Amino acid sequence: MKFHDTAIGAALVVFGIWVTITAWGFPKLTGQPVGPGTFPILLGGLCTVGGAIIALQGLRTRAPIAVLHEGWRHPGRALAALVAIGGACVLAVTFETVGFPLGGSLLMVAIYLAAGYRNPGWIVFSIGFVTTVHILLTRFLHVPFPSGLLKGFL
Amino acid sequence: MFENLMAALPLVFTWHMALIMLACATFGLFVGAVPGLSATMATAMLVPITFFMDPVPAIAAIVTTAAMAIFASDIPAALVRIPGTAASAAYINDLDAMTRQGKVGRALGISVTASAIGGIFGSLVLMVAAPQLAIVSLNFTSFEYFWLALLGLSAAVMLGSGSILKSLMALLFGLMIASIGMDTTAGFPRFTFGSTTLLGGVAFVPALIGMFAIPELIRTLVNRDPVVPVGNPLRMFAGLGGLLWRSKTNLARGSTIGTIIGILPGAGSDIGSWISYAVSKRFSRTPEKYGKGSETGLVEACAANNSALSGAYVPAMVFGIPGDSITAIVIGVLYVKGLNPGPMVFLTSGDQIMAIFLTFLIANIMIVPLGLLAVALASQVLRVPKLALAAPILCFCIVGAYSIDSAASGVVIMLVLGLFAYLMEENGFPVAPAILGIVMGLLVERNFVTSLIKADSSLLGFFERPIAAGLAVLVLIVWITPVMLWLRGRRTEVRT
Repeated sequence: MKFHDTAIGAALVVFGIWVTITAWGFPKLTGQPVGPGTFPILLGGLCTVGGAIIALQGLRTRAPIAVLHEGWRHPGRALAALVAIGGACVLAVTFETVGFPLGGSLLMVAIYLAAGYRNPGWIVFSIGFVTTVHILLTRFLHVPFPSGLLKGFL
Repeated sequence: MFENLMAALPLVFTWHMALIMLACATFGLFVGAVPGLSATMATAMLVPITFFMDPVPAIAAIVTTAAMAIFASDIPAALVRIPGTAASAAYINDLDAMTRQGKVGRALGISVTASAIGGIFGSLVLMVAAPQLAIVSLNFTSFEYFWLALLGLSAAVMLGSGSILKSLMALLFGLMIASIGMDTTAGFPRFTFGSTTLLGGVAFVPALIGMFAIPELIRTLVNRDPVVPVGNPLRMFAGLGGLLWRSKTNLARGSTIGTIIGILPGAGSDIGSWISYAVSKRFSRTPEKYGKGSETGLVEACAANNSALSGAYVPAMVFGIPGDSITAIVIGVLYVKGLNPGPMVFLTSGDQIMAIFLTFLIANIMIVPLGLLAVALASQVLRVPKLALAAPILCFCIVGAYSIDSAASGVVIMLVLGLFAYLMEENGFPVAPAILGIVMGLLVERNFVTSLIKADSSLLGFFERPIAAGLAVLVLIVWITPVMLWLRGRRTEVRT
């Protein structure tokens, strides 16, 4: 999604001001004029100034406030992207309980289905791929990856 | 030195060493080629095994693994646009552009050879002048580090082909992300919103994976670009000799810059690669090609990347000061093996130290044949439609983001920053400066605040030391030049 530069600039100004105000409240080092807030105040100030310039530059151009990329107008494609990102979010939240082998396989199958790959072979591939990665990581590289619901099986 | 070299040869050229280095090279290539798994992770996993080895094979194992893993991280960077290190993020757009042009073999061929040449150059410098160079690096204080880091950041801002202002804002965003968590000077929690997970800051690896891989993943699912024709990867060295000969200045300059910056503790290959790429663009006759598949930019930055890795061993060996996380591991192993780093080790165990330096050379030479094999195998991935690769790539991203801290928060960071990076790129804000901001944020801030305290909050103090003043002038030139060019362009426009 492409936003108008004025909108982006305004958002940056608001963000910069928020950072500056928040950092202003940080304590200073004992006996020093500097502290944990010094650097963020500098960054916030620069962000505010930069945002203002972008906003002003944007005023010279005529464009809609927001334009959706062509691809997002295809419901199937938008759904595939939403399934991928939304599914990954759900997996992140339930990672410890569901586990990577089951959660990862379901995520891959969901993405393939949403992207239009309906052949059952993709389901087999998804399960095989996630299981192989899981075994490689946990058995050979000793990464403590959660097995979750399949703990007894793997 | 010559006596030590002669004594070191029988320690290195044995079947036992050859087998260890080959096994570690294969392991390093495997770990490096998996998106999200880092060279640091690979070397850390080797440490328990090195307890059962003699000193030289132990360090050889770590050095070989690290060199291979760092080169191999360029493979997923080229194939699926997931950089393995912040250093390779400097030239990822060129790797990606060449892959899209069907020149993946050539891109990785350049990466293999330039990395090997840069690494060999850095190793030779290490062998010849390690103690002398380390003394120079000790003259760097917080003032010099501040300006050096700022030079690296300025280079990242100037690299993009789009708006400098938007690049600067992306950099500020990265620096702000880096300021999340416990402050280094007072231990005060900043912008954590009460979350204990954020106290330690935003993990860099999930951020790196998210900001490069997630936007690419979304574009793949939404845009459905046609399949890219894959050239024969086995022809990756075709015509490469000519290119390297034409780019000999770039090779020499990249290797030198990389080695010099690598020697400075904490600076490492990350800044080296970025500064080198910026210098290459500045002196190029075709700067417009940078970021769109520039071969010379790739040559220079890859050479700088690997030469900086060798350079990082200079302060590690001479003073026991780690230049990066891998040299920190090496120092630990050296202590365990009784080769305590310091000036005396060159006198008491000169032959063993020279043998270790020789393994650096061999490891960098091994990159070429083993790299060719790895690239030939990995490039088969490009024959699969990108849409079908989206799901496994996302799984690899999740694996990489989780593995770094064994926490699901890494996956959340990856997704949040990934979505943000997608919006940034859609609106003309480049991602690379933001990544460098995240990596360098703490270094810049720590040295900025320390220098302010040292100088009694006077900004003049930042210019008083000769090296600091020299670096400051360079930074000012980097910032003033585009402004002058813009003003001159406008004046010409008004006249016409």
